[in-house]
Amino acid sequence: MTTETRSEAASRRVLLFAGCYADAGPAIGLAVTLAQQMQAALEGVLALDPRMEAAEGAALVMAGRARGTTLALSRERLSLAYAADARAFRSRLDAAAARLSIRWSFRTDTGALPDLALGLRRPGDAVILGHRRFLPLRGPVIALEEGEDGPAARLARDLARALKLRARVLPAGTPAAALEPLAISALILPQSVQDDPARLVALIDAARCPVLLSPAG
Amino acid sequence: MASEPTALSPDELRRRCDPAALDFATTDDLEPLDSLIGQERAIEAIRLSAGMRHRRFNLFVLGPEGSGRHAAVARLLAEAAGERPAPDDWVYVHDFDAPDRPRALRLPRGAGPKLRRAMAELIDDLAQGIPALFESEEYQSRRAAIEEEFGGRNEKAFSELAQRARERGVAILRTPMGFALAPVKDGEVQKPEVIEKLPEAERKAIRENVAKTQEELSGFLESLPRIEKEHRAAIAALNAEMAEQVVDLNLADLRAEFAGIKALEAHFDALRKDLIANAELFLKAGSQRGEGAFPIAPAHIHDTPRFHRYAVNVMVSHAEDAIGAPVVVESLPTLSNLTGRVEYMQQMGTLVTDVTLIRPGALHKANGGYLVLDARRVLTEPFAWDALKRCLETAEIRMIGAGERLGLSATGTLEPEPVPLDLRVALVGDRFLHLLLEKHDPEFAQLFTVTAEFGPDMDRRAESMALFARQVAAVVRRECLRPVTADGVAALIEIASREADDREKLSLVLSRLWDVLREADHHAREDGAETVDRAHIEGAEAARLRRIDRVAERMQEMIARGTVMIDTRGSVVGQVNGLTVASLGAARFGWPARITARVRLGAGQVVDIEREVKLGGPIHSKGVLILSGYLSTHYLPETPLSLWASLVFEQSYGGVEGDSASVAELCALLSALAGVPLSQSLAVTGSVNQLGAVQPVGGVNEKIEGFFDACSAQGLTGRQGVLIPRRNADSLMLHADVVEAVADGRFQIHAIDHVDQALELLTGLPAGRRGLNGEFATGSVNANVEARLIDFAEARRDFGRMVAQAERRDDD
Repeated sequence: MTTETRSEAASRRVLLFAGCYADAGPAIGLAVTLAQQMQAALEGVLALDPRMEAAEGAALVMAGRARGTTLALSRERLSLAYAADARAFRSRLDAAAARLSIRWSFRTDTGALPDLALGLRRPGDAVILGHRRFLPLRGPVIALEEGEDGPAARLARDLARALKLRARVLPAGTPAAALEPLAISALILPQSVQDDPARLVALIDAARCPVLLSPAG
Repeated sequence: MASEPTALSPDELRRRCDPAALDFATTDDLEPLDSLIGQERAIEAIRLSAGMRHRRFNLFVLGPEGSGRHAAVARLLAEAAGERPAPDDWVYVHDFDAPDRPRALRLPRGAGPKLRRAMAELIDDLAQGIPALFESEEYQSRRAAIEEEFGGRNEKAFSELAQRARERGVAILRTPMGFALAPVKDGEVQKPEVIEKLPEAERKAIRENVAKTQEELSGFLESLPRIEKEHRAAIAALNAEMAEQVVDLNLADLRAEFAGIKALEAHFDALRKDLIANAELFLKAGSQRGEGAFPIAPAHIHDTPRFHRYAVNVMVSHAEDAIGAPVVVESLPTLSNLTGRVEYMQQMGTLVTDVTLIRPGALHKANGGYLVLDARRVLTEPFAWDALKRCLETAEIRMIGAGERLGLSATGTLEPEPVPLDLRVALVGDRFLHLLLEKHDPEFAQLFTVTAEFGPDMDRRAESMALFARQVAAVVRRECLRPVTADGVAALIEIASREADDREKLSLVLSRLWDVLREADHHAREDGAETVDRAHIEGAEAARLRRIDRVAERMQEMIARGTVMIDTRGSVVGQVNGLTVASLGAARFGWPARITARVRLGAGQVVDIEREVKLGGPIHSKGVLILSGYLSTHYLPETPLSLWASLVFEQSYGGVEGDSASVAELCALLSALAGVPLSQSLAVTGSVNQLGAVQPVGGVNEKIEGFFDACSAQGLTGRQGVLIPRRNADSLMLHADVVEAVADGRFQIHAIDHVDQALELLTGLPAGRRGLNGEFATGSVNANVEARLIDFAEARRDFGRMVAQAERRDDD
């Protein structure tokens, strides 16, 4: 049995990374719930993909209300869009966290996900990578872990209860392609998966949902 | 000239009530009488209106303040209501097809509150049941199947698209705006300047690959709305199917409880449809009820605004075993208090409303029974009278607020379905209002066809006095007062006669008498007396009069100090003491007023100075014109009247109205013509007709007492007194001090029938009657008047000749 000190509790964080506000949206509820459960501070990070720098002038196929139309990607346009997303991200975080009196902060950073997240996390931090599907699907919270009693599985059950979802545990070795047809509300990856960057990226791309990198231990 | 003696005896000045004739010791010996007396006509009318089934037989009750109209109407209507069945309940519910028009439902007695409770329980149950169902394994499995079907199909398509792009060397980068398509080589995005340096064939290939990917991506994104729609429809269908189970299960209990109530069947059907279609409301409620500092207990979910659409708003309800129709007295009949109102609540800076914010009015509460309103208050409240008439006319209660009627309401509001109206309205007012309404409002007579008129008094007979005594007994018992002795009741009867302004009558404005009784009881308690007797009653009445006597006292003071010039001794030509009376609230008092007349040669004109300066009212002017008629026909009927005369109320700076001074004015005029002085010891009241007959007037008691007080202040000589019309003699109910002074020979009251009697009393000379020779007796007042008029006529004729001669000389 371990006893947690007050300073440890105070320094715990839930880091929510997203490349755009659209990806952050579905993850904010999860992040707030997790921060409440962990009694941790919530930190939102809007990550600017460094590849955008090189992609200036590339074709930009619009999503949202102007979906399907094409424009040329310009630095100004991108800069304005990131600023708008940052405001929306921050505002939504404020509203959700304030309601439950959770300490929160927000910032922007440059770097590709998940490398940026893995680089910034500290021991004990929970990291959520915002991602989403094209349709607002509602599915279980899935943990990839061997056995039903591991930390990822327990976390999945706790979160599912709080979010009124089902929890499901799949073997840690489940291929990424097997996640593609599933509607997943959140995917929880244990430390073992986090240590394999290529598999991590493949799983994130396949699940296309908020991905929680559970804290070590 | 009438030969009947004019001086009245003390017995004729006040009708005392003999306590021995009342046949009881104290009111404890009497059976209390709570009902009205002397108002049989009004009671009959109220009973007719209460019993009639035709809807236009509404009631207007008129009568003097304090005659017990309100209490009598309420009591008689309550009696009638007891014989009628208690009405049904009325509730408002949301109309799911027309959300701004709540539906009015008629339910059996007592069912309204039950339905409200049952509906609240249903919502609370669903708030538990629906989330539980949606968390069930069955729902989750079926939902997962749908999600996976759509998710799999859609996401797989995108994965394949992304794979093809990768194979073409095109990266799909997510940006806040959409997807950027950038050529990649060895995993790195190729910058434009690098691509520019590539051979044309490679550049062309890159452009084609990007274009192809772009086309596929655009196609994919454009297909999303349709898929999203299908996805939503599939989820909604599943939700509805699941919700249907729990809604039907819960609604079955409700249907069973209210089986047989036709009005509810359609509502329950609509309710079921809406609950199923909006099951997500309950999911949200379930997810939010634990949030916040003060989470909503599941049992009170129905109280939250989003569920108000399912609420039952009970407008009016009666217990299942209620007996009798309602009798509602609305003391503040504003528009909204009558027809009900739609209230609003503030939500996010705007005003919103819903079915639970509809408030009933008095018409709802009295529906099926009786509504009692004060006519003056209804008429003075904006739109209230008009709304009441509309409701009675259309036989339905329609809620339209004042703001909407004025077009000032900018907020969206509800238009509740009108409730059918079946009630009897009793308006309590006075004669003036009744006349105004009859004259100026044609709808009034159609809607209020029964009039119940409360009389101000009743005959003072042995039977009525006995009934009056029993009413006193009822007040004593009801208000726990001390018993009143027979002498005390006799004193009250005398006050009632005085209030009626007629000793042969008893006032039915009983509230004032009961106030005297209460005050007398107070004095009796202070005295430690067991009973209330005459002294307590008379003491209370005297105290009451003293409290309201300030203005009268001030007037008498001004007379005593000579500020208001009134002589009560000596004789003066063309000057007489008239008498006036004034009412200031409860105070009614009289005082003398000097009237003077002046005459000279003229063209037959009597000038009423009061009228000339617009201080005289039309009745006063009429009285003065009657004097002209009397003069011109009584004296020298064959000769043109050749005088100019003026009449004035000296030191009168307010208006003068009424003809009760016309005898005095005529006496002053004849005195001025005859050159005969009038006694200032006497005052005169009474009106006169063209034949010289003296006619009765009002306020005689107060006028006599006013002059008596003035004389007392200047010293009673025994010659002072008042001349009153004989037809007023029966009205006399003078205060004891006046009666005492008359009995002692210190004051006199004369009852006269003709102006000649007044002239004789005022001048001490015979008035004079025309003899067989056609002339008045020599030395009489009338002979002197006629002689003066002949002088005027001759002077006028001589003056006319003189003028004519002068004109001829001028012509020559």
